Amino acid sequence: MLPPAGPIRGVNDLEILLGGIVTLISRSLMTVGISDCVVTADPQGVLATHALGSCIAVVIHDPVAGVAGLLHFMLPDSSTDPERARSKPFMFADSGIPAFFRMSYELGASKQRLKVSLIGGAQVLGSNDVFQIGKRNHVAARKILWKAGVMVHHEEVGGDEPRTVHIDASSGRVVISHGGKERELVPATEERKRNV
Amino acid sequence: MTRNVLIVDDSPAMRKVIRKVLMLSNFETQECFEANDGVEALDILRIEPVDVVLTDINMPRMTGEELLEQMSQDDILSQLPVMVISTDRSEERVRRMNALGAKGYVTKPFAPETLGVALNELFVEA
Amino acid sequence: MSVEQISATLQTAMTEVLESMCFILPGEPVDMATFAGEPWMEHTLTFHGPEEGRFGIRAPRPVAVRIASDFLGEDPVDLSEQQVGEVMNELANMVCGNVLGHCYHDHAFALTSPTVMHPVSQEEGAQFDWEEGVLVAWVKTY
Repeated sequence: MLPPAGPIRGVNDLEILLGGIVTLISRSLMTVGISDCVVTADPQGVLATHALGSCIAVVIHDPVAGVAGLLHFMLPDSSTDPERARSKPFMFADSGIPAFFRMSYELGASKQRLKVSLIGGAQVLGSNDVFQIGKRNHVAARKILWKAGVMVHHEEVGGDEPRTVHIDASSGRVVISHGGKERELVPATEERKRNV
Repeated sequence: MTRNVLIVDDSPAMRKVIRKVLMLSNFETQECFEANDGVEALDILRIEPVDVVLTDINMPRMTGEELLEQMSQDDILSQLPVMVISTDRSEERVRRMNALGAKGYVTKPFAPETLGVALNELFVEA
Repeated sequence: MSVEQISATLQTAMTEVLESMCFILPGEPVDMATFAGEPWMEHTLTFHGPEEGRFGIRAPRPVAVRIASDFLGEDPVDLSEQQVGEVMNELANMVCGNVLGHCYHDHAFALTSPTVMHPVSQEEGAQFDWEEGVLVAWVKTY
């Protein structure tokens, strides 16, 4: 099977039924929904996810392979709902993160080169988050990455307001919109700047 | 530039974690030596070309503080960048270790990334 | 400082160490029947400085294995008995150092290398609970 030419998207029920990865038509902005992910090698690609509350966005970028990805997971542990984990693996940190990284390797990313950012994990006001889902999501992601031998390079987690995240696939630049302000979490890499 | 690193800690578990952080942080380490205490560390320092020393404080036979004292009296060893990785976060200890020439100080427990950032700063200097 | 005041920081110290280095958060207590018949592992050390005393931590063996796995980032089946003990030693060192750091900001302490306590003591201090385990820490001053 030829490697997919465009971005590969994580999961929806239809894709699971089709038994695999769906190749989408290349486009500039790809929005990643809750419990979903997208990995792309499209230099024009911009990945975005909105309204990250207690959820975590795992953002990855391989500056050499030009691969970027964004996972938006919701809960730390799939053992509470194995059935759901089978149909929606990207809902959970423990099932979603390994599958997400495998997708990036399929597009040529290398674990040693990947720059990893974690964003989200807020305790959104009014949500009555007695279970500290945001914090549990953050710690679960960190544990999975440590066990997989992956360091986190950038983090913006916690707080009490939702965030929106964009990553530019070409440069690896990550921009977070938070509390009405926009700021850069990860500057474009020097290697990519030189290539522009 | 590749560097030779010496990890001095009486805990094999902690030495393993520090090694893992070094590896995952993509530092170009050529050799990674390990010592169980200050005495072993000095033995290694006398014969191996170590570029950076990462040391605990509380150890049997010779503590990290005594190790730094010994190193500070040697023309060559006193030039090596040393980072302390210890549970002791007291201001008194930090002052004493800095006075003996420690270039960095990370307290246990640490997040792996925190150690990675501190190591990066030390390696830039090395 | 009284031993009660020092003991009051045990919970905070366990929380900080377990979250930073083992990625474990406090949670609902596990059913202790899960560990019925399992041996407990206890590791102790002494500290010397403005205060002199003994410190210990203990956990059921399967919990110690899980902690070691999380600390080293390795699969539990790949860990030897010795490695699990070494991680418990380091955990004792870190929690004790953290407790003393909270209680005595400007005084350095000397901590001895932790050793295995056998048989396991009945000392009580504070208990850290989460969904998959329990860790007990205690401190005594001379």
